[in-house]
Amino acid sequence: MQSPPSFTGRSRRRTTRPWVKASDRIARLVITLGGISTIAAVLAVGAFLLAVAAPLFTGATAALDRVAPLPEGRSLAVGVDESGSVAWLLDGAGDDHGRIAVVGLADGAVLLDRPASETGLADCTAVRTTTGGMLAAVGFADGSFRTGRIGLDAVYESADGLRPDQLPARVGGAVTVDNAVIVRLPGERFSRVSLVAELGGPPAEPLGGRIIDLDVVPLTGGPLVAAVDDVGGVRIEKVTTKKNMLTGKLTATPRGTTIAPIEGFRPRFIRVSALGDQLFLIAADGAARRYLIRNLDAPLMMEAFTAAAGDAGVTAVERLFGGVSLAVGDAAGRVRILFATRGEADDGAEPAAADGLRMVVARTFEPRRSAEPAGIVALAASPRSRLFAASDAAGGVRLLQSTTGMEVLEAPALRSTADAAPAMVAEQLCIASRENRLLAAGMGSLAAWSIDAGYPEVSARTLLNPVWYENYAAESHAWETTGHEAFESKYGLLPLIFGTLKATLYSMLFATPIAILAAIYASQFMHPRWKSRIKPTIEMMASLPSVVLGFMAGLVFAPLMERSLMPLVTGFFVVPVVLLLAAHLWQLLPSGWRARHAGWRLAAVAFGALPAGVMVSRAVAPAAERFLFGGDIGGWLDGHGGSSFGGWVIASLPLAGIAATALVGRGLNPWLRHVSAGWSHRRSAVASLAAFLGGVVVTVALAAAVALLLDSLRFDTRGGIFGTYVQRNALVVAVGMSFAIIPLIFTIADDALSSVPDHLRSASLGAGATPWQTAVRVIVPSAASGLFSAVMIGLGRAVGETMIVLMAAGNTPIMSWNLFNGFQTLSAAIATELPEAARGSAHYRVLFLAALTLFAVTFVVNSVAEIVRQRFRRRAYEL
Amino acid sequence: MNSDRTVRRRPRSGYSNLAAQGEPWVWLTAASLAVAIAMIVGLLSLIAWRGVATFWPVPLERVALADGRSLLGEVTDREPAIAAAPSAAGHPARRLVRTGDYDATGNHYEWIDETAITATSRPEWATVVERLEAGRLHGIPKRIVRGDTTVAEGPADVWQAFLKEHPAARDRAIRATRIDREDRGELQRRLRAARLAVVQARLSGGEGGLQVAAAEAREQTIAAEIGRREQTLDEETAKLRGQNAGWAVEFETASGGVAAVPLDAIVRAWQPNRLSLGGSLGVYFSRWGEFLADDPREANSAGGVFPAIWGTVTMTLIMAIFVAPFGVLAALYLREYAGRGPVTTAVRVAINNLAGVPSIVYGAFGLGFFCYVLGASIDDVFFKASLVADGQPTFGTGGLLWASLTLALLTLPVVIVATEEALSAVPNSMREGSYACGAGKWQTIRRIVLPRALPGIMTGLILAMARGAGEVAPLMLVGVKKLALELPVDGSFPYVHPEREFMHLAYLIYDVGFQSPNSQAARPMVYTITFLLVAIIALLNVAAIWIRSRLRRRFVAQQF
Repeated sequence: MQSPPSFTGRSRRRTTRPWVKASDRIARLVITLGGISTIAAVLAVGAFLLAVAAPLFTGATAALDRVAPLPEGRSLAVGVDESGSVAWLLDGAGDDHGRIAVVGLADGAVLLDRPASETGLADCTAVRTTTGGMLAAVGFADGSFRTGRIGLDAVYESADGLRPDQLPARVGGAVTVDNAVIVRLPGERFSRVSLVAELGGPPAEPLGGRIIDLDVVPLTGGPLVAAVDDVGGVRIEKVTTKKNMLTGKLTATPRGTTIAPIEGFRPRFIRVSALGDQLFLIAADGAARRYLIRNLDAPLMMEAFTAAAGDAGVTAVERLFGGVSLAVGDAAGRVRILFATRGEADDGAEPAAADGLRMVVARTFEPRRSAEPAGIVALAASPRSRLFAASDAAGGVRLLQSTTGMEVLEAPALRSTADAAPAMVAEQLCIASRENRLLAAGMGSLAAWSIDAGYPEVSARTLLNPVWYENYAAESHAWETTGHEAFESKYGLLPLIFGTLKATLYSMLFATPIAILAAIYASQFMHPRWKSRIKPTIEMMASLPSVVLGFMAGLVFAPLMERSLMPLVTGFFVVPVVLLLAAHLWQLLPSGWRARHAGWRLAAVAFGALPAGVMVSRAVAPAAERFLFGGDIGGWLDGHGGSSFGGWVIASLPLAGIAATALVGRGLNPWLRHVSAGWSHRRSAVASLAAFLGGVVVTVALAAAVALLLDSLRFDTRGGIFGTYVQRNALVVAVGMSFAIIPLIFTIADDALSSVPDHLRSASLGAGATPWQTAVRVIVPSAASGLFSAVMIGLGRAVGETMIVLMAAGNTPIMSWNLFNGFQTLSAAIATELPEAARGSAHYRVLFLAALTLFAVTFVVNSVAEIVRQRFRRRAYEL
Repeated sequence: MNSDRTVRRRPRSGYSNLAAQGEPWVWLTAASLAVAIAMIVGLLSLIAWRGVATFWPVPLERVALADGRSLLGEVTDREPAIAAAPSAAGHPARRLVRTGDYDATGNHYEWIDETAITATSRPEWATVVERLEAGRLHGIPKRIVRGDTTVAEGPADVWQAFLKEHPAARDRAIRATRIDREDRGELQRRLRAARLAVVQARLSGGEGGLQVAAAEAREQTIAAEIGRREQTLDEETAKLRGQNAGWAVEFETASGGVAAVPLDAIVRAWQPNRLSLGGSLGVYFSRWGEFLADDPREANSAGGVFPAIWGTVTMTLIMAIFVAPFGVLAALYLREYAGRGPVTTAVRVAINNLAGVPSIVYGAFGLGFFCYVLGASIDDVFFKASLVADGQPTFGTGGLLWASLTLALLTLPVVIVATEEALSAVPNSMREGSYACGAGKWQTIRRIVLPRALPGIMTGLILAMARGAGEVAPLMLVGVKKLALELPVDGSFPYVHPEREFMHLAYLIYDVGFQSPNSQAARPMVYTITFLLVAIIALLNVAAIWIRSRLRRRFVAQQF
């Protein structure tokens, strides 16, 4: 390359140094990579929330693992070990009067086999085991019944103590070793599973006939057993075991009572509630009775109810997890969920029983859709949730969920290869304690499914629709997630969404007018020097931590507000009136003087009119309280002092004010303009003052008239926007939250108003418009989209604010518009409950769904605000 | 006005002129602004006043009541009678007295109707005793004893003796507690580390390996050594406590009883009714000193907040360390390297919006991702021993690191937006000039663009720190604790413990204000913490403004 001769005679280097090039390239690489990954990381927040919440809505799955042939004979009970690898089952009579066997579910091999006679189970007619435990009750043909333990006992064991040939080859495999079974668990762990079948309990007082059904629940002190025989006799018995302190000997003392057969009522099923206080007897035709058995010696009949509708008889009954609900299957293939609720029926047909409770059918599961309806054969509850399995006579097995009323899945059917007839009708069902296995036994087969139930207690429907929860009087929205172990969690997001809306609405109603009006004054009427001082002050309010605002709202304003509620209520109306009055009095001053001292208006308001307004409202408050609320606003809000007049006056005053303003503006002002030609300034000002006072009188009169009318029609504001006063309420939140929102809206609105091009303002003022006319007719319309975006950003902040609502809203998830009542928001629920929610549980995922909702809502709101703002910027630029 | 209508000048109407000025409406806007200013000024002055006044010694009043009882306490509040409801309705003026007689009455505060007061006085020797436990005691010194022997009797003598004996006794008690907490804690940590080493050896080498034997032997030697050390510590604390044993001060309380307080359980005592201005100042600053430098006592409602200050500052700094480089990188990419297309605009809008996403959402993300996904995998690889041995996750739960990262993510959009604005404020002519001189892109960015944008970047960063320092909702999910006296940075190896849970001033406000068993007595403390937090945040804001103006001045001078 030939360089051209240079003017100075010095040749310039024209190549870039290699390290400059290299550093340029490295910088480009680092910045691009780092930048993109940082942005991706920030954007991944939403994706992660979605990923956590999504499994809530994935369906359940089931895969048929094994069908093992069984010896003929009626299957009486079936169970599975903790890991879901081996099952036990009890057969009824045969040559050896029944047997109890342990079957490996991996290959269907019979690992242990014991004749029932060895364990005293021979010729038993009914067996009942508690779900998730080993407590069992067994009834016999001679009317006797006993309690004991039946099940598989698992002990973890290390591989060191076992010979290689004693180790199962694959996970889930099992090998028989010394009268027990070694099961291989995932992760090189083993468990030694042994069969327990012993009837240790003392023999109970026998009944007359053959035992056809019984039930047992573990209580503190000992199990409670209830049995029914084929002639209608019922016996309940509690075995209390006491340990002798000196000898260490256990003495079991049974105590119980027999309910004699009732004419015309032949119970087929018997169930006891988990607390052992209620006894349910259900006959095959659906007639049923509920007894209170708190006192075992004297059971009290509480009510008779029907457990089945139509002519379809009851074929299976199961007590669900939690011990409160009964699942009742009938011959038409339907399953009903029944529980006792407090309160009257809606139709008043069935009054509550003596204990105030009433059995209701809360939900009905329709028969299988994929086949002809067939009667329910067996029901089995899950030991850890309100999931249960139901099998029907056509060979179908389904998993149902009682809280949501959803059919979780239909297990892949068992069909014999030869014909279309069902290969197996499940007479016994069992759900493993980890809900990973479903077992069915009957008609010579044992079937096992691997199941993944997913999150059946939550569905899109139940999150937003009312659900009839256990012991509730009716369908309702509820959010209640913590309780005892068997508590029915209530994941209704609607109360939280409602609370969020309520907080946002009331806060915005309070904060928006103040912020926008303040921005108008600051940008249009204020001296720039003063504005440059005041704006940072208000902006500083934005950087106040929300926990400080929450503390102030919850612990300082709330008690203050409770003490001076009436002055506050009157203040809402009196302060503006006093302000406007002051403005009208100011108008009386000579206009030249006013123009010179326009800058003092803010001072006059801040140190004159506002304090005066506060003082007047304090002074007026007692009289207003006497006149409107019978002297005690707290009592009135609680519902005492019948007349609703005061509430309607308060509620209709703002509307009446708007109506009166419109009346004066449309009716009186044109006329005044017309007649005032040539009036002096003072005369106009007096007329204006008179018009204002007239407007106030009209407002009050209008409000009073509306209130009288509505009160005489017996409408009441209480129960609507007014109601019982709670210390931490929506009003407190609105005030506290306004500290956070006002500066935000103010700053953006002020920026928008100030960035309206000056030539518009100058033109308007030059054309003879007053500053007020310029502000209202020119500046505000030009900046409207900027103001809108300011409000939207304030809204976004209000929706997600956490600490203020956590500290000042009382955190009760109730749905009421009552201004003086508390609520709980999505954000507060996340903050308080997420640390305690078990990772991966339904609760955890529902809370993430709440977080996702907040994320989506704020994202959308902010996007709208941003788009509007950019449009506004373009427009302002074009102007 | 429609153009087809003939414009006719109406005669001048006084009322129209007046209405055009819209004076009432202007007043309404002025009132809104006044309300907004009054809110912020009122709030800040309330916090400042209550926060500053908390530690000032207030005179003790003895209030004799009509029912024969008498109270000795600070009158902290007075509620006037409501004029409309005469005293018959049960609303006479009443006073709130902080009684300081919890042992006898079971409450710290009492409302007294003024009609029930028969006499008030200010006893000269009335003493406020701040105890280690059970709050304050108000009483008049009666005697000071050591075992069965009376050392001094009568208020004046007792006070003299107290002033003489108390500092040494208190010092011994503090030394003993420090030995218990720090030295013993250190020994326990070492023992646990040795035990975990054994578990780790078992996990990695299998049972019966050489490593296991070595680790077990080491554990035994350490256990033996620690046993010896414990013994010497026992002797030391026994000696210190022995010297304090028996010393007690008896006070006559308002209810007439005598309360004996062990000398070393008295944190501080003063006699407000005898204090001169200097004495008051002494008590005031001594209480401030304790507040800033000591550990909390009595469920955080008394004592100091040093661990919380430390936690807040450390967390904010770590957050800044994370957020600064990444925020600048992302902004540089967006402004200087990414093409100008709809995608870049969309990303920009999205980032802008993320600044408005509620902080609690980031908290949920932090818990779900940092603690449960990232932390759990770190535990699985490096800290399995602890997980296996006692089921304690190390990084798999909330901690300082995760809290800082969560807040960094939360403030990242703020920093990106601020940096981008700062970058775009650098005039293009400067870039072009640099290119024209032959500089490369990176040279231009490094030498020309970044220095000019620095004030804006620093401002954004400091404002982000101010936001991070005051944010508490996400921290509740990712590692802030009610009480965590083990600081994340301390003298035990490896000196920095990013996995430890920590205390935070903002959370302390929530905790002490809302979860404290005795929230009324803790209220002044909450005000002080609030004051401190607001002061820190205001300081950061002021620093941002100062740095911005300083840097701007520097560069304005160089402007071409």
